[in-house]
Amino acid sequence: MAELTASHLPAAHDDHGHMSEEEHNNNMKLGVWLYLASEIVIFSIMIVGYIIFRINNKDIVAQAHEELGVALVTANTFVLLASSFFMVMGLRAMQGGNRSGMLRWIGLTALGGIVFLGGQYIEYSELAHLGIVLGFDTASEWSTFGMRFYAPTFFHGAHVFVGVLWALEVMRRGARGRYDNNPIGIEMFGLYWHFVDVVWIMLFTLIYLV
Amino acid sequence: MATIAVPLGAQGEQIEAEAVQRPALSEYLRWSVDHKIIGVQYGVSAFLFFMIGGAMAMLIRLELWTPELDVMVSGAAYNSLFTIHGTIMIFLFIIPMWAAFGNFVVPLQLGAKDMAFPWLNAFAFWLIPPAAVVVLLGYFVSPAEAGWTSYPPLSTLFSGDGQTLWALGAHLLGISSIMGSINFIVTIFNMRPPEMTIWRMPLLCWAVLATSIIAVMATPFLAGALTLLLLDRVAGTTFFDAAGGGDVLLWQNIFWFYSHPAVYIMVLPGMGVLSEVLSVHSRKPVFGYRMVGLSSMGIAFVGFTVWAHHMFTSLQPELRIPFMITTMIIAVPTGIKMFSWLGTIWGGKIRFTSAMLFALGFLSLFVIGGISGVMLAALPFDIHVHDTYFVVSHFHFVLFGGSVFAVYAALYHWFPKVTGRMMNERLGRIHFLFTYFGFLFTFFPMHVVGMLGMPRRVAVYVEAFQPWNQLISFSAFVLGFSSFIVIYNVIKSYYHGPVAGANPWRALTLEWQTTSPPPATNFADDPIPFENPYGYGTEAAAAYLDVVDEAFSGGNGSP
Amino acid sequence: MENTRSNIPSISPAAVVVTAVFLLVSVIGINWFATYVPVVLPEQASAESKSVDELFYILMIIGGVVFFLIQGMLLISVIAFRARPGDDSDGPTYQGNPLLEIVWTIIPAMVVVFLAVVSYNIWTQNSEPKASVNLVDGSSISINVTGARYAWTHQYVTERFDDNGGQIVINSGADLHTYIGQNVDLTLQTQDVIHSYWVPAMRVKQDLLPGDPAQGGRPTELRFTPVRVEGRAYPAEYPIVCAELCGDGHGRMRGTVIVYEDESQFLDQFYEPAIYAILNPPADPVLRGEMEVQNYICNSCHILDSLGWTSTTGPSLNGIAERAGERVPGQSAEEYIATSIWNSGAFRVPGYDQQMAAFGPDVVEAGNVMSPEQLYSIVAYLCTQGESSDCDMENASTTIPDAIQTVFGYEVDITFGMESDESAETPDAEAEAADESA
Repeated sequence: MAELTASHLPAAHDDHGHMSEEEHNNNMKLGVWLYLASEIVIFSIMIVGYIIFRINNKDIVAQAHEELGVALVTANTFVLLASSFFMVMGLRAMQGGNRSGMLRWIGLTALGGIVFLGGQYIEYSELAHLGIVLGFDTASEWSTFGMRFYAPTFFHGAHVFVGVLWALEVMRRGARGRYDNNPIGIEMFGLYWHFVDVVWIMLFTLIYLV
Repeated sequence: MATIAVPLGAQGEQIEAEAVQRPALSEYLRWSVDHKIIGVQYGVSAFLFFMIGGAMAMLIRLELWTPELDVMVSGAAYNSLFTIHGTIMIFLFIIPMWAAFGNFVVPLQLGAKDMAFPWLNAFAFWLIPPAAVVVLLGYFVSPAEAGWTSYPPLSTLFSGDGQTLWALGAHLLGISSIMGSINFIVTIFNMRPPEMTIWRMPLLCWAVLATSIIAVMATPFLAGALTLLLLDRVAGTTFFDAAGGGDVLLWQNIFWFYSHPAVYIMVLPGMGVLSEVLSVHSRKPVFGYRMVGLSSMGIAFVGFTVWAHHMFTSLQPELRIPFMITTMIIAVPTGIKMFSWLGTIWGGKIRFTSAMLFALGFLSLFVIGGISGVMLAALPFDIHVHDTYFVVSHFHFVLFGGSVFAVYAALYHWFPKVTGRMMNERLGRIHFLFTYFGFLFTFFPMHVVGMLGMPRRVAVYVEAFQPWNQLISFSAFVLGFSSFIVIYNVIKSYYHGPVAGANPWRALTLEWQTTSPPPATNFADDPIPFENPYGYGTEAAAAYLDVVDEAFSGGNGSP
Repeated sequence: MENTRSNIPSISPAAVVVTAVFLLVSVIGINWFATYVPVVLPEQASAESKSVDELFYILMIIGGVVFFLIQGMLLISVIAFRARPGDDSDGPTYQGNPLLEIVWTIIPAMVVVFLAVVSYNIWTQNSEPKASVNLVDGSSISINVTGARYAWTHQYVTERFDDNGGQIVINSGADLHTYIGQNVDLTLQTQDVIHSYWVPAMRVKQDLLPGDPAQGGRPTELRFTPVRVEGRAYPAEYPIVCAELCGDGHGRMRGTVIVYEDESQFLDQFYEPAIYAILNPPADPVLRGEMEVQNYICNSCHILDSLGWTSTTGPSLNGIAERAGERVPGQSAEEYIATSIWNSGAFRVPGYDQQMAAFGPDVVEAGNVMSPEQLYSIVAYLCTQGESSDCDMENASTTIPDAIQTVFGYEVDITFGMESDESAETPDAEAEAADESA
């Protein structure tokens, strides 16, 4: 005969329907990681598309390298890397309980993103003058390079743009004390921002350097 | 000596009394972050799309009654009809339908209070109506006519503007699916109470986990491909246009790299449902629980390596053999499931409830889809039947004989939990007979016309196939009629069905250890799962169920 | 309550009977399936079809065993293990059997390996390159197939030459002509979207893939060898079907494989008459035009009652001669028709949004190459389509070549077909020539 005990466990969470902080943080982390995994797939489609194009069209890519130049984009890369550093400092400041420090660092992060986008805009307009456009154009020798270049870089730029908006939102919430006890929101934004950064390093290496 | 812990709260009585109220119908029409509400929202809207897609299928069959083009105004109109039929059935019916059952059942089965991200959950659902509007708008504006596979250059250089809207809509639905899946994975990994170990998880949770992993990894491929397709259509790029240095096979590769795993997105949750229903209604543990759970993962994994078998007639010949081999390998984990289910009912005490009938129907039809799947994997034979009605038959056996039968089984099984009322069993049996035989006589003859030489996606065909097509069309109308029986049954049972009580099937999984419908917080207290979710037949299980029955007796669970 | 953990289900006598009956039914059923092979598949008209059908037969037997095994177990379970009325008890707690699970993993795996090996062998055997392909009259020629929405065209690039040393190309429209034992090797090219060339009776299928026209497209290959079908009268005809969705007229995109009994029948009834017709075109440009226009895919889009064309994708050609002169101000009817064919993007008839492919001497797609003389005769023929004609038919032999000269700068040699009566190799085939090439 089995022994029956109707258990009366003390309720772990008194506030039914609300998660504990730890549970919430773990969920956020796993969720953002999964989201980034799916982003990697989309970027890799575009990157692989570019690699295949590169292998088949060495001449156009070599010519493009000459035209593109690396000065502006290197500066841009540096700005983005620096903003990642600001991001880390911002998180560290919040973990140390320094709200205004966090706001300053995250503000710098957003600024870095904005500068990056500005640099990208300048680069795009220079390329447009050279006749490198997104669409296919039989008349242009660049006809097939443009789309493979713009698709990944613009898609990345869009991510930077979203990141800037997110940074501003983090600042707004942070100013209201949302992260005083639990900086998970900043950490999640940091994950995203580092991801955007890493993708850019890949694109930079692949499109401008190699 | 098993010690049995029963989910009985100290203030249990009181909370149950509050919880017996069913949510008002208006609750379902507005934004809600309760996974149970969202589940029903998914389910009802998916069924609505099922009826729209089904009506289109009826039109398709009406057109094919004669070899001439007579119902539709042009071949292009017919093409857009089956394009939207496929799109609706896949993106707006089956995938959201599994999100419906996943949403309602999985947190309850785990013993969680809600999904990990309730707000994201609601957002993922509310992306569907606008996406559906975009897709359907495309149909009425200037329809896409390239099939749901949208092969360029037909879809880029020729199809109407509706194709752009189609791609936008599919994009939104893909995003919704990724969000939903992330939510499921996090919920299953993080929201289980400590007692619910991974090897105590019900098999539906295993299946939803496998499905969600596929969806998170594969759906972005669709998103990427659709982005390039949209750019080709609106921004003048030539990713898929050979005249501009593009490649049409690029689309086929990326698309099938998503869409083959997507087949498992559509059928794996159904397999999970089957494990639940077969075990509960034959009162016997699932045979080889671990192997069934792991085979879901196996299918998910191998499913990523077979995509090019959809391209056997376009792929370079030397690449075809490897994909034939990987495709055949999929038969092994599928076979494990099949035999495990047979082992589950073998020797049991089978109750012929409507849910059980549909589950048995699944077994008997899915095996035909499995056999034709292996036949299609055999490269030399596939070359003959590729893109014919044989293929149409095969995937309907898998997706209708498989997934839709599982949807019906799940509906009859969990309806009492969702609404607190039992479905009408007599109507359920009639529904089953119409569906089973309607289905069989619709789709089985398609094998034959395909092999004889009828390609798919044609509005006109040679006269010799007319008798076959009339048989198919007639049976299809019977099949179409059968869905009205279940609609009537649902509406009737919702208002007048007998009160279900907490656990009408005497099932051991956690969703039954609470009131029907469950309270807003799902359980009065932290629920404690039985040591084995399918441990039927033991004394301990009987005792556990008795305690639960007693705890929820006395009018609890009535709406 | 008894401990049911060790309670292995007992099998009732009813189940034994059902099993026996079922095994019997399965054996009969599998045999029945096997007899159905010739009924559910088209005639075996190629060497490949035999081995593919053999594979089908093997798949059917294995599939039949699986089918009857599983349906049988289901049926037995449903009958033997149903809960009796009033029996509310649970079944035995039987959690699994590792040995059994290993068995039903290994056996399907072995079956799958077996099927893969068999399929691989058949595939390599069928796709093995043949020593001599498209053998006609002792030499291998190339046969090109072009798919365009919504018609097939077949081209035989012969090893014969006309008086000017030009290679003779036979255009046989939607028909593929071959003979028993010829190792057919088709080169497939599409002009627009993906098509799929399927001959059900031969069990072969291959997609046509768009490629960059500047780099010669993206030709694909299809091989098969017709064999004799018992009880068939020759020449025998088998349908060609488009199996890949290509648009509005996908279902109409069909053709015919005509298999001759042997090479000499092929030469007598198709090849030589066709070459004769090319070397000896009718002297009358209108008659020649009527013949020529049917070698192109015009019928895939246009209506023309006098030739029985019915497609509505493009504008109707009925009465084209009455309207052609009024289409473009300052352009004669001849110029308009010639331009519409050659420089097809120049105008678009209101209400039709799709552009026609171009047909002329400088066109890349093999199936659309049209010499100035062919264009001349086709324009002359179209100029007769209508109650009245805007064309200057009185002086057609000068006005139409003039028009082609003005628009494209090509000289038309209007003496074609006038002088080559004696070069015919099978003079008696002259009468059949018109029929064959039509």
